[in-house]
Amino acid sequence: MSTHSATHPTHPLLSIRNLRVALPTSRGQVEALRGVSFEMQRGQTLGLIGESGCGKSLTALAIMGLLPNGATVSGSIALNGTELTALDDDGLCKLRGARMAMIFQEPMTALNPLHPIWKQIAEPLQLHQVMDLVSAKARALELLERVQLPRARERLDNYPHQLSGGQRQRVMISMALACKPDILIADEPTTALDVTVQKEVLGLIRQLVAEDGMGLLLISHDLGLMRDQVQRVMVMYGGTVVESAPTEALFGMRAHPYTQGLFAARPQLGLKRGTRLQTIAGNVPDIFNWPSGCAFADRCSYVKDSCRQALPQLELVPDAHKTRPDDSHWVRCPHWQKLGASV
Amino acid sequence: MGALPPLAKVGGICMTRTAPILLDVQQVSQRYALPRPSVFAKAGHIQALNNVSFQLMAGKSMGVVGESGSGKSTLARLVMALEKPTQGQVIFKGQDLNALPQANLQAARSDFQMVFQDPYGSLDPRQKVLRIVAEPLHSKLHGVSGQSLSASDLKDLAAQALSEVGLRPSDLDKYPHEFSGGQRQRIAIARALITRPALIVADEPVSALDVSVQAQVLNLMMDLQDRFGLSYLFVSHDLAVINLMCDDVIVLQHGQVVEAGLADDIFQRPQHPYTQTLLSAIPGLSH
Repeated sequence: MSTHSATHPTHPLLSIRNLRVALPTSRGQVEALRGVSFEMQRGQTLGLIGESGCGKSLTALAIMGLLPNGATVSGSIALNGTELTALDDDGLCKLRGARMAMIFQEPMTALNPLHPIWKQIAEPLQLHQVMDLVSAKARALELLERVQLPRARERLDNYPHQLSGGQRQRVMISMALACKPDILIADEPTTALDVTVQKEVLGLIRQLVAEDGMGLLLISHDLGLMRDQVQRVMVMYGGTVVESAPTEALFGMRAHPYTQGLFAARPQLGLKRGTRLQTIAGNVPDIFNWPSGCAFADRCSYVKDSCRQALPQLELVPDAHKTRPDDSHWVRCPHWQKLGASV
Repeated sequence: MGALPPLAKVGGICMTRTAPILLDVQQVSQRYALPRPSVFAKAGHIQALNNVSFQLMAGKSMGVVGESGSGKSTLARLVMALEKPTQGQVIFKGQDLNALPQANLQAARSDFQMVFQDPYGSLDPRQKVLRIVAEPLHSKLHGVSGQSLSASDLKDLAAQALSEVGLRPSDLDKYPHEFSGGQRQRIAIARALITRPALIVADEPVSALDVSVQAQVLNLMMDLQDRFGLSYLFVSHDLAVINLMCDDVIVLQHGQVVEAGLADDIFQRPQHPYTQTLLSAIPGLSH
């Protein structure tokens, strides 16, 4: 009962406070998320961007309660005011697929090859809404039509291998949306797709999210894609959020040295043939050997001794164009004013 | 397949006529048989490439653009002489690769090398970097005269190739798993470079890499081209990367070249609707 009506206007849709995740490895527990905090409101679209190993997928898995066995979580994840880290597996199962849903990168591995697609879409309906098989199949058809799968009625009995990558991702989306979740997490949902199909699938996700008023947490490494899809972007590096800003503000001005480097390293149309790209020196820090202070310190050309001592706090970047209080621009670098923001 | 509409602007596709022709792909078609639906049914076919022609000049780069199933990788395999086309010719340095006797083809192979997309799958995990990087030398020497290099010569050449791609000679004794994705792609480039090829076919060489690492590898590939006068046949779905790396571009759709020309022309004034669709689908451009 409580989970379905838990839309308290006083609570944000999702509130994450100082989330830390340690993963079990052959060399003991290793801290992979080092204090992630953010909030999402209903209907808000939020992007998580960063390179491999920065913790963006781990953040998503922590929210969904899908971390590997033996992972230790501290901090708070609250969905509609319900503390998820305190729930047992049964409690999480009631929420997963119902109040929160996830779309994965590779739809071929995320779908079960042995079941026709309608059964897979019907599963959350049977489980969470206690629908019988006949009405669940009818609802599956409606959902497939909603995600604009061509010839949906004929395809109900198809198996995943009979569909193309884009069609499979549409099936995944229809599954995720079956129970009208409050939040949709999409982890690189179009990375395996061609650009023209990617455009269609992203447009579809954006449209459906807006229609249902749900929150969207979109994970991607593609800056251009973020610009099209989300209202706010968080840049992650080394298990923390290093910069967070409304999308247009971030594209207007980057304060963190890592964000600046990331933007400058992109090949962009219109660059002259043979132009050398700007690079970020060095490599992503080794998870077994995190620096004690700022994770970017070893690659940063503005590094000072103090950067290596403690993890810098988030600082507010004043923005003259800010119209709402939650439009704040944050950066985790104490020296950002001295090093000059890149515009 | 019926006759193709002729390309409006260019016939043979060759825009940069300042250098000798290195690679001349002439009306190449490739057909694959599909599995039969039943024992009595006729096997279907798929036309992976249909009458594709282009020329690549020495020291220049040709970009191949298209979506999955467009024939990009088939084209790369044909140029590498990994399979024979059902029709047409691949002429490299004046020789029809498919007409060469096996021994001559093997000798010729040292002149064109390949770099693959997946830096994890393309290096044998059980071999040390020395053996991986030096491997093409064996086929080169065997093909030419049957002679062999001493172990120390091999090691010197491999160390030199590694330093050319920004790795250390001490890395020769390591295994691939000890390297990051970007470093592995450098190893793959060193392996391609060690025979001093005239052409490197690169099939999505940076697609699996993070943005900051991708920039390092692209810069390296441009530096190597300037230094050794290499040509690249650069296959990618990323138009911005092609624009940066290539002089000329062909756009493939369903195995056919739908547009070809100078990269700058195609990206600034795409003529074919498919090219226009591809360009307009790039995320983040409409701001």
